[in-house]
Amino acid sequence: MSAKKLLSAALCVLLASLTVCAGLPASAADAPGERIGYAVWSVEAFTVGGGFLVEPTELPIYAGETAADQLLRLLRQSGLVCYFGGTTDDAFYLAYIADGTSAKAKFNRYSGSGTPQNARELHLSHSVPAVLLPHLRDTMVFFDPDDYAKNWTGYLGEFVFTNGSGWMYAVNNRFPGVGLSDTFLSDGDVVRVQFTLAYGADIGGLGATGGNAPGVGNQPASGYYPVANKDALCKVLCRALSFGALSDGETKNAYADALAAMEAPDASQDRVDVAAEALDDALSKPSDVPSPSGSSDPSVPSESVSSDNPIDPPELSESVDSSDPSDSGNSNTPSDPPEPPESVSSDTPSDPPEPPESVSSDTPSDPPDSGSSDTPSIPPESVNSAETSDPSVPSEPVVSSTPPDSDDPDAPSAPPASVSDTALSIADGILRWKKAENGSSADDPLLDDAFLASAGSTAGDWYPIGLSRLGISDNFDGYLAVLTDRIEERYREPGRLSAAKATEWHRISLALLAAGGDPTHAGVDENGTPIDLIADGTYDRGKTVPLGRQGLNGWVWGLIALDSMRYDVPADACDTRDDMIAEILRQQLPDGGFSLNGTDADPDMTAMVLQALAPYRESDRVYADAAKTVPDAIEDALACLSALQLDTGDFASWGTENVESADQVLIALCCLGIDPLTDVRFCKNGRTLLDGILRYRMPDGGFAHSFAYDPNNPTASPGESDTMAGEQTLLAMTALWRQRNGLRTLYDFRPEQGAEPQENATVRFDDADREAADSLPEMLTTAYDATVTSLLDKLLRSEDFDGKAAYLQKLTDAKATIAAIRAEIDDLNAEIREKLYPFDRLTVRDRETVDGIFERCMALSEYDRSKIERFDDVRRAKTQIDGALRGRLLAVVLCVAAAGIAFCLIRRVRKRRKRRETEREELSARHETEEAR
Amino acid sequence: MKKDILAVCSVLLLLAVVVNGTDVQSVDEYYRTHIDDVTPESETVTVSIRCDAVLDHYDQLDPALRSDEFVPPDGVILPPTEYVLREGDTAFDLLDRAVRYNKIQMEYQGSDQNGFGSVYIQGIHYLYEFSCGPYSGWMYRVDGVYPHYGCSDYVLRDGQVVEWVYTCDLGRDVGADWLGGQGK
Repeated sequence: MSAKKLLSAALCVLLASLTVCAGLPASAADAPGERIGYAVWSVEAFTVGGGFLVEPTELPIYAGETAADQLLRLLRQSGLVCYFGGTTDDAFYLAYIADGTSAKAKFNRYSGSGTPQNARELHLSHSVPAVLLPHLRDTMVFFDPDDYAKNWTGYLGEFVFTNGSGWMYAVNNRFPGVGLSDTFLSDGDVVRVQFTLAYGADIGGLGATGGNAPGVGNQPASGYYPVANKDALCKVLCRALSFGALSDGETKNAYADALAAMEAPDASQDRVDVAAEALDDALSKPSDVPSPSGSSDPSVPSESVSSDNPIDPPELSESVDSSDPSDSGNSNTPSDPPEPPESVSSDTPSDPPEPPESVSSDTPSDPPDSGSSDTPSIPPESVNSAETSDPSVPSEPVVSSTPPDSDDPDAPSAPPASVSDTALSIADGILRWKKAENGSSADDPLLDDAFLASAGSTAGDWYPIGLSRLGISDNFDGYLAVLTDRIEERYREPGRLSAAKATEWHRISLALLAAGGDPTHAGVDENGTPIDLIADGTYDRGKTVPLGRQGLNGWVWGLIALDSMRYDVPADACDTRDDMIAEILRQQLPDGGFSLNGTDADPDMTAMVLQALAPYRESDRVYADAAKTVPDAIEDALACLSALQLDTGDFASWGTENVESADQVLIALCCLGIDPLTDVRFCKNGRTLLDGILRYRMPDGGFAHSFAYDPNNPTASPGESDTMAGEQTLLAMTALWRQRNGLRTLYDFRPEQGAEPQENATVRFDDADREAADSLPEMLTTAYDATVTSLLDKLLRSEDFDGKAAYLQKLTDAKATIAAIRAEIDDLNAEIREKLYPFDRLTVRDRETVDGIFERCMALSEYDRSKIERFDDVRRAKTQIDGALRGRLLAVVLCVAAAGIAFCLIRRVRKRRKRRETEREELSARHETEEAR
Repeated sequence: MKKDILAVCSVLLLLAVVVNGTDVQSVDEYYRTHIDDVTPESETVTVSIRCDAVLDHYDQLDPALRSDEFVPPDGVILPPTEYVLREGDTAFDLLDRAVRYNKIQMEYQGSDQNGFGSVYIQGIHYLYEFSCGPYSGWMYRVDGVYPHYGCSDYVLRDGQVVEWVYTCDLGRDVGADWLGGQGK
């Protein structure tokens, strides 16, 4: 090995790494601003028979953002990726739209838009429509109808199929001569991004491309055929899609016709218009459409008004404006002929609006249980009878008693959708979205193995609670098994469920009840004693950590959990019900509200307090240090909430308008037996809480937390469906649905009145279960955790059968194996944190440690290895140490070589000296002999 | 004689190489082990971690934590430190790197474990949420602004300054104006 070669190699490496390190340009500039409206977007591959790549969708427009910014957002939320030239602010060029699951930083020198949420594959079923074929064969230099399948699978863009192909876009049916980065949209615009095979000649946009490309000159100046304006049709489709599943046959047919007209490149204007009108009419029939609106007029019972307003959910707040003359110009659904607004408010309801004061007075409740003198405020059995006995809240939908207006022949005669149905359909939308997000299909249970991985966390527990309280069946057995397993596991840790947060106990208690479990017997602890989450998490929580350690939340949710089954509080309890109520009352602010930090009333906190105090709304007990009784405190809190409600029907919390605050207030009103849609205190400017909530509904059925935009963070996308917004809206719809159907309130888990006590049915470990157990792989990973846990749980509860022992052995072993892998992962994560850093301290001496960690990581399955945090760092440490070791070896080799050469050199020199000496001696000897002679 | 000179030269050369270092790496290996080297070309972000607020609310602090070991007298857990920004790095990635490289204890809740859909930082340097009163916990600001988003959703850009600060009053004691300012 030559030293020169080594040096030059090192130099090369240095140079190469410098180039690599040079880095990438900073990301696009900020796009700050308020939401200024909505545009309808679609991405179409009709010219290759590929349908919509992105179905018509409404997208919020934020001030200052370019159409290119919006397109990237659209594709990101649709699960696709695009590759583009320029930036979203300058010279943006859309080169390809591609498969979202394999997003790259760059493709064919174009920048990628990044990995999208819920990435999906680009399934393009392509078959160029016959009408295009002769034109393309005549005019194109290159045309191959199979080019995509052969060369481009997953990428649709420039030069695919023909030399004149690529993406073009039309705004309001015009192809602008400028790029998307120079286009600023306004409310109501329709943007159709279309794939062309012929410089736009096939989509009515020939003039918009530059005239210099090869083959443009061959194109007929007026295009291949007249192209219809499909904007109105596109909007109607958008509306239809936002309703989700269309049940009615007629609507389905109209939808199919509309889609066919949309997708035919050469559809005539007549055909397009007829199809749009037919679908619009079909959608306006209320029987088919879940009406998302409650009451837009406080004086009208919500049941009777919704028929007039079949409203596109995402644009609800704007559409509702049609009943408000001052805002009528703002409607962004011109294709939707709204009923005359007057007809809504002129429908004088047959039922007069319920005066708010009457709520507490006409909700009869049993006299307080005088027997237990210790806790006189314990809620009486039927305290929630408001739902069943309140005459103003019928469980059956009320058909409007007002006949259709005579000047309105199209007025529907079918009964309008009830609030109950509306709530259910909104909840369905959320569940549909959540299932899609979770990766399960709409017909599968939500609580599958992937979902169960988050059992026992805030992300995993609220959806099961909503599902169960809506009476929707799902995999509750599996959920209960995994949740119990997690509880037992966490009870072996020092802080048990949480060191500081009692709310962990409360949420999990409610989740257990929802799944059919018992929070007072939630598995067993390490001593085999049953775990009592109610005792440990509420009245006896103070024996370890104060219930209020985390603030007001701890008291409020403690009380909700305690009252979920009206649990008894023993005499020696640390905190009684009264203590909790008194503590909550003490924290009321002068304005009647409540807040986490005790200064400014917060709608969410105030609403949650109301949910907790609701069972005591009849109590006249006076508490120490508390200025008010519970009923007074409730009235003041309601007044405070009413004052905080915005004109749009929703609330702002922490300075941000959001959906969750309105959800919590709606739940609170339902808990109090107040009709949230008709109470005048909660109708602002004609808008109810439900209107406020529906502002945040997204086309995918989910709900966005907020529309606020953070200019400093263009990556986080407001106006996109989000887990917490979805779960809280689900709970709000559940509360509303339960109220309308005369069921107990959301967190009141006692059996319904008159309900038969449930018997424990015998459990069978059936064929499907056996097959699931049989098909467990030899090499288990933690991915099978939920499966094994729920199977084992079922097996243990099942009646005996032949071979039960074998299954028991197999599943117990499997569970132990998985637990061991989990422990190994935790251990590795801790060890990596402990031993690998800082990197510059790692030396050859750490070789054994690093190699050990690396080998243990590699011994894990790929799935389990993905649970190792910063596995990259393990690789890095290993590379560093291997390099150092190699360097040391090399040094030794080089030293040995040097020593060898030096040794040879010395020997040679010595030899030479010796030889010279002998020569000299010989010479002198010769001299001597000569002289002697 | 020529051979001798050559031999002397090669010995010197070999020794020079040994003295200079014998770290021979492929490009990949070099990139992997030098990914965090700050060079004039690299994009960087500055990260700091402070807990000054605790010093003003020492009476509320969990007694077990009342020690210089957990609460440094100057409130500085990590002074502003520059880290290389890798593509797609979020505020959480940089915090995680900073605490790992400096062996600072940190515990967080993964984005799949809470309803925010974002990583939630529970504790740094043994200071947890609620360790110093019911309004206490960790917050972060970027270039002086408190974002409304979880730290694992905040993708950083070159030159940004990320500060992790411990609040004892839901942010108001550390200048987060948007907190508690609703309705005004």
